[in-house]
Amino acid sequence: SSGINAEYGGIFCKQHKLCFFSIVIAFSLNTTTHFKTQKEMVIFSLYIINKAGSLIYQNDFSAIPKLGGNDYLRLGSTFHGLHAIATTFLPVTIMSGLDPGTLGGSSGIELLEADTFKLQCYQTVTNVKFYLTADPSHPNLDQILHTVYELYTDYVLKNPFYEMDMPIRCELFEIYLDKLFQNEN
Amino acid sequence: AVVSTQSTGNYHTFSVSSPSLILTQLLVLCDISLYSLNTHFLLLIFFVYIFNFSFFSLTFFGLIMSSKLVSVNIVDRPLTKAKTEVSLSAFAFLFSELVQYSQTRVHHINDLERRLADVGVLVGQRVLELYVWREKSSKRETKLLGILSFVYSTVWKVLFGKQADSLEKSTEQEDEYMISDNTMLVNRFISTPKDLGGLNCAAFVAGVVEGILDGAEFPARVTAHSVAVEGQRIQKTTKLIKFNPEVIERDK
Repeated sequence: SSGINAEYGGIFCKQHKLCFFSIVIAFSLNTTTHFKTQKEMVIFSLYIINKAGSLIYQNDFSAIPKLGGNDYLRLGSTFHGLHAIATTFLPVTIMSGLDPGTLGGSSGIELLEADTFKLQCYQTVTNVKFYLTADPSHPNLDQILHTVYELYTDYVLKNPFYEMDMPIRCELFEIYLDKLFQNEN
Repeated sequence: AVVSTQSTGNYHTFSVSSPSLILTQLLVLCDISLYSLNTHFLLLIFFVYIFNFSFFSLTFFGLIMSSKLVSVNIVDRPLTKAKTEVSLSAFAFLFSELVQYSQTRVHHINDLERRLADVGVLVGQRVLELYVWREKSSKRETKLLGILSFVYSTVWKVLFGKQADSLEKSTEQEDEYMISDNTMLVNRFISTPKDLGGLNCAAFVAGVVEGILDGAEFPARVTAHSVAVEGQRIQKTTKLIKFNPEVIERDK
């Protein structure tokens, strides 16, 4: 029940408060079970979103309650939407066609911190987003995200049977991810 | 004075941006050991002398010289070249594209394996010629075990950087042998989906082996299979070599 008490993590924007609050609630409800007893840094789950905004991979790496398949898709798309909205937060005049990130503006959500979880997102140059939810005190999530990106380029993109932007169903990718997160958790 | 020289393989690209005569002479003398194309050497010295008085024409000429030296016909390159390595990622993408290309042109999985094997046969014939020449052994392999150990050690080492993991003779059939590899390089990044079950992209390597054996006058059929290994989730790949009956007869 303490999961409902969520902080906004430093982003204050009145018109987006409601949808932001909803995504924080969704993630924290997902991660509320028996954390108070665990002290170590645990990574909860990984989500991968393609450039169109749909979820192509989701997996949990510790014992958290499972949502339905559609709920995960919804979480993914909501995050994609918020990520896009976050690029408009800073009052920088954007010339047409230029990426806001290059002008000193915002390029999206990188980190989202709450009482019970921490969400770190890494957006690649090809607009594929990798994000991890983990324990709030986890130190090096971005390093892990880079490793996940490397595994993605190796075992997903070099697979001739994988179609771009489709859900990821590559066995080798999952084997190596399991190995990575077993070492981490 | 900035003079930069690069040597790539057998040919030498030479770009000079300073008119200093002595300096270029010294450097050319130092680079004698790097030259392997002697016919172009004298030509270069000649041009360096003549055009050394002018700043711009030398730079310009350097560029022309370098472009002339780079375009060596592939058939003229010496066969005993030093070992060169290709990036694994480059090969993986190329192989992935080969598989996808074949996949668009077939209707059945077996045909896909057959197509990959056909490409492999072409590669295998060339691999045989080149590496038998490079090995410089005087006698041609006439024994079954001889050619198999050639494939198992030499060919695997030049293609994949290490020897194959095991060579076994089948106990039930006397014309079957198996070469296996725990981590097949071509399959390293490939996870075949379940609905294409049975397909192994190492059919390409099976084709290479078949090309080698065919070229060495040991006709055989080679197929690739994945064998599950306990304790590991990644399967090992086995090439099953089935020799034609006349080969077995001949070997007795």
